Amino acid sequence: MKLEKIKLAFESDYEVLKELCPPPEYAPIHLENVYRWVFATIEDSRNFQTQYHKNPKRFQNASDARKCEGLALSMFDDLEKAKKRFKMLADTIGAGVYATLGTNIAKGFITEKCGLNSNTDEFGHFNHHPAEDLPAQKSFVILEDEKL
Amino acid sequence: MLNITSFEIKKIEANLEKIGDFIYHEGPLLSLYQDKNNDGNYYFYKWADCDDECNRWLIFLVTEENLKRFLFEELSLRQLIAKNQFMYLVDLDNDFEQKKCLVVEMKDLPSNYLPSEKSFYKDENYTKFAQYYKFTIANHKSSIINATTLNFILEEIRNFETKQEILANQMKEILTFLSDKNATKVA
Repeated sequence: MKLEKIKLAFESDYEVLKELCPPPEYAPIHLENVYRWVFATIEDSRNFQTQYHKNPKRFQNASDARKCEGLALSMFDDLEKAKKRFKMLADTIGAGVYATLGTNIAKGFITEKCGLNSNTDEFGHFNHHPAEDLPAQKSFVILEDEKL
Repeated sequence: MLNITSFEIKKIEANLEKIGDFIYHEGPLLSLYQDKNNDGNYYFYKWADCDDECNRWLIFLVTEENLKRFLFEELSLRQLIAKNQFMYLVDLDNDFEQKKCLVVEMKDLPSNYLPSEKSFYKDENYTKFAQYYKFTIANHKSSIINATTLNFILEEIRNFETKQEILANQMKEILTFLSDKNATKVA
């Protein structure tokens, strides 16, 4: 019942997928501290743009599950885990990841009205499908003392 | 996108088929491909760079043996790349169409495009697919001889050689003793 109350931001994109998106296990959640990799200024348009919307054609041959994942925003529930995951990617892929994944880390919060979320994985990462007016996005501020 | 000393070709000279993604974060960052014309040859596509129009992928050859050595943490990803003198840089636009295919020498690759010295495979950092593939390839065709096994065999050979040397010296000492004894008798 709770799920019906949230109008999600990308309903029209979900509708063209054959698989249910967001998946049925995704749920509203209340988290005081959530983290996202962002670019140097919080106003940067890339910060809260989903991978799917950055480049829909990239997902042309992808499965519906991948497309659905591309329509979510990546977030972390733990600052150290967010930094650790980024460091691993920078070590493995190269310092070039700063150009595509971000240079800074921002902190915000999520309430049950902000959207639907996956469970957190072992990297502290979860997918967030935002509600229509992107309420979580508005809470994010860059942590000036934390560098990726 | 960085300008790099290279020469442009039309396309990669291999018939590549994607096997799966090894590192994925909001999209693939490291993916494994196989040459359909030579199934012992694998290629890694590693994301390297981007601009407003294209993503640049570093594409390099990996033999099956080196792929195993990478998955069993004997070689880092950086060492795997360095096994090649030449590799490809391919620029794909937003329509996933190839805009440029460059052949580049290892020595001309910018440091930004390279993994760190510590880029060893760790199950926990890679996708479930990579972990599954590691299990599959370990049990594929001939059984894998990993570093531990190889070191054990080498150690056994070294021990055997040492034992042989000791025996030879002992034999020498006995022969010397016997010939000295015979010499004394004759005298």
